[in-house]
Amino acid sequence: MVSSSTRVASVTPDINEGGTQASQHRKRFQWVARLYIPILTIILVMAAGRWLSSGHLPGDVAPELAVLEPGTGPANLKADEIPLVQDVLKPDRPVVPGHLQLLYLGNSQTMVVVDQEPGDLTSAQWLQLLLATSQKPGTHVVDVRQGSLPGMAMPEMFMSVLSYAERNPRQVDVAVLAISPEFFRKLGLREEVKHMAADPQVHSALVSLLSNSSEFPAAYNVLEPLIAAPAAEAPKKQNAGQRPQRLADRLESCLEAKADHWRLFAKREPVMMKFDYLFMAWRNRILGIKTSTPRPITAATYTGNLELVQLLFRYAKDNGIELIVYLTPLRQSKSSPYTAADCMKIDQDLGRLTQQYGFSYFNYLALEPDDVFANFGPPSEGAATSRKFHGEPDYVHFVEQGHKILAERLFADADAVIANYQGGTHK
Amino acid sequence: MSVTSLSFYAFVLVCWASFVLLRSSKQRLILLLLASYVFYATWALWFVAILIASSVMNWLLGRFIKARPTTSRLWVGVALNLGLLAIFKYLPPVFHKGVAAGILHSLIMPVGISFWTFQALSYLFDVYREEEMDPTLTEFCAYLAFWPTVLSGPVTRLPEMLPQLRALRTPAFDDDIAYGCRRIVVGLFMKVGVAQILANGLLPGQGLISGFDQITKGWGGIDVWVLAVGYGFQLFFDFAGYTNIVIGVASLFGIQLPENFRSPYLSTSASAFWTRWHMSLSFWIRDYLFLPLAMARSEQAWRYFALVFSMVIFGLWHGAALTFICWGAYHGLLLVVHRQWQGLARRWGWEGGRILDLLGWAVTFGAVSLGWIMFRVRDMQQAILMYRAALSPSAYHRLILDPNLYVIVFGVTLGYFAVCGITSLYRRMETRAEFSRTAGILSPTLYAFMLIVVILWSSGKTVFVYFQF
Repeated sequence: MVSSSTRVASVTPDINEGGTQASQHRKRFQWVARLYIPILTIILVMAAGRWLSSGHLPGDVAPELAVLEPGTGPANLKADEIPLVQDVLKPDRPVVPGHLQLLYLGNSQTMVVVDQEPGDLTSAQWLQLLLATSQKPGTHVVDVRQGSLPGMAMPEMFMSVLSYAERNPRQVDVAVLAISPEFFRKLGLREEVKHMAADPQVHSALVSLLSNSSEFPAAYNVLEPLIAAPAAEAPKKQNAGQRPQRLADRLESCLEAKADHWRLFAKREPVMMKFDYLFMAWRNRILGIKTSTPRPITAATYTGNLELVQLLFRYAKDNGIELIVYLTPLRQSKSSPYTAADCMKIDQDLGRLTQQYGFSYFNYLALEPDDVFANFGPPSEGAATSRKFHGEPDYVHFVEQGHKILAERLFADADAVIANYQGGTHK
Repeated sequence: MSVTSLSFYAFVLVCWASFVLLRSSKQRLILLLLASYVFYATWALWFVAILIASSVMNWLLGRFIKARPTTSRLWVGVALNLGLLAIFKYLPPVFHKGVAAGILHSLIMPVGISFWTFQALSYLFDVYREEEMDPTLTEFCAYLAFWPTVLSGPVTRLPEMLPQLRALRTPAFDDDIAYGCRRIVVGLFMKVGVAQILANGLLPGQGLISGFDQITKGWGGIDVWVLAVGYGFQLFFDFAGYTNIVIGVASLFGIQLPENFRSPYLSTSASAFWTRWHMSLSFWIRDYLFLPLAMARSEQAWRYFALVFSMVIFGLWHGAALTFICWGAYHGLLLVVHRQWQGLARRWGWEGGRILDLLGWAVTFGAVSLGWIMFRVRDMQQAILMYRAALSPSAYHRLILDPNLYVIVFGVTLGYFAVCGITSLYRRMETRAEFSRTAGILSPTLYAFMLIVVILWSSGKTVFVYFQF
């Protein structure tokens, strides 16, 4: 028998239990409410990361091909079609004793073959072929080394020469510098080129060069961060195979390597490049910029670049490196994004400076016929910049015939210079 | 180990887990102290030696002053601290030749020395003012070396830190952990996302760094304004982002740090700006330099002098350069002009209305932005060239920066004021249930967006401007 008091007691706990259950539910719900923001945030980051890294963004482009200014991007080309993969031009090919090292530097024009067919060659490869087939007895065997970068800027060209020259053994005796008017628009140094300055030999050469270059303030300003970078701002990434010295750096490298297992982390740079593309596409659309829109070169970037050219010439002269400089071909038949006045000024200044330092200079601005250039292709071809500039003229890149014309002309103009090379000492 | 590195967050995680596992406040304090020294040692081992030496020296000085708080004893403490700072920061630029110069130039300035030296000085001043404080050596060392603040502040004071260091509790989920995580995410977004894109641009050679350093002449008037406004925002997002991160990290350990920024670009006067920008240092200057100096004499002119002098010291704190002195003096003069204006407005009975506020905001924003040029330039010659361009109408037809930089600076400026507006609206409406529910649903999307930006931008090089001070 259950007494009334017991019943009451048994009822009360029921009510209390119900209350406790409700409060427990509330508590449980509170935890869900508390955790839903971090959990949902993580889920969203994972989902967005997966979406972004699996190439869903428009502008499907390999980062090494990314040249974002209209009219200078490689047209009708896919990443796996770049001819740089051929062993003969690998920048890290070993130095054969007694062979003359010819470093070929330029922007994507020197690397890209529009509408490439199997077996098509770039200017550098054609030059290697021509030098090899016409080699006379008693002269040096010439090894051409491709050091070009898409969208190369003058500070990067400068650092490349310095870096190849300071290697042991030295990897440049003669350098072909394909200078484009585009160089004079910018003064940047990308991270991978900055890493070159981390090498003690390169760093010391740079310090010594800059300490005696007070007459080139603009060039000094561009390069000074490379010699003044404190330990805290040292490049994040280490060169391949190079083990970081400090424990903290080792830990950071280890964590970064682990993080790279996550696809978004590993694909940060290509995804960023796509964002840059989107930004540029919108900018060009809003500001009405087309590949043919004339954009004069600003005085400041021009002066800085010219000083860098002089500094490079001085370094080459002092180190017995022979320079062969040419102004790159541009499409002539259409109205160009470079003004005639700018092109003429660049030609005059390069001519004057090469004469002053005793180097060879050739103006190839009008070398190529119009039919070797192409227009940007339709989106279906999957071209890097075609989505934005479909049908617009490409002023810079040409088909293989253009490379052949350029290499033959360069060979005709510079073969004697290369054959008569006497200077320089292998380190 | 920088606050944007992965190793920093691994370190935070390990320290936090150990902190939560320990039960007594004393053990937690020792853990924090050890963690602080390990963290500082990741920059250089001998930096820790300097920091420990300074901590012991100041703790002893505190006891020395406390025993008999005389001005001469205080001056001994001030001189020793400033001497230490001078050896690393102010003497190397002064000496160029001789053996002394060789020794001074070979010394690398310990990271954050200006910040923790000012913290030590505030302790000595507080002891001299006979504030009730009696830290143990461990507590004092932990105060000076506290690892989230040791690199670049905020400049904390012992009276606000000591009670927290003495009662280190298990962090609460909402008030400490969730809040801390939010601050870290927002800080990373500001620092790694926004500040970095302003500094470096989308592509090499397109950012503010190139605009200031790689161009030596030929800026147009608009270029100068774009660089000035852009740099002001770069500095803000960089330093305020960093501050958010360290406040967030400290919060994970249940420690509240003072704020450093409070929407500074909404200030309607120079005086208001200095109560919203780098607040921990500006309040330090106000409390320990300006007020004692201003109260020494009663003349108006003396107060103005005290104002300008304090701001010159503020400028000098950043480094021994003429440009910093000029920047400080310029802000001192802006403060004097504002005081004069207040006097005139009072005399003529002008009350602050919307139009006056708007005008005040525009003048303050313009004046502060122009001031950043002096803060950023390499030398006075560059400053003169840039100011000449900003002031000559004929220079306004010329544009020499990369077109992307104009777009980015415009976008960031617009974004800053839009976020300020949205935040203000949010604060007004957050009490409404349906609004807070919507905000609660949207916030994961916002944090996810910020984290994605941080992850993507983290591949580039980060530049921390205040690191050099």
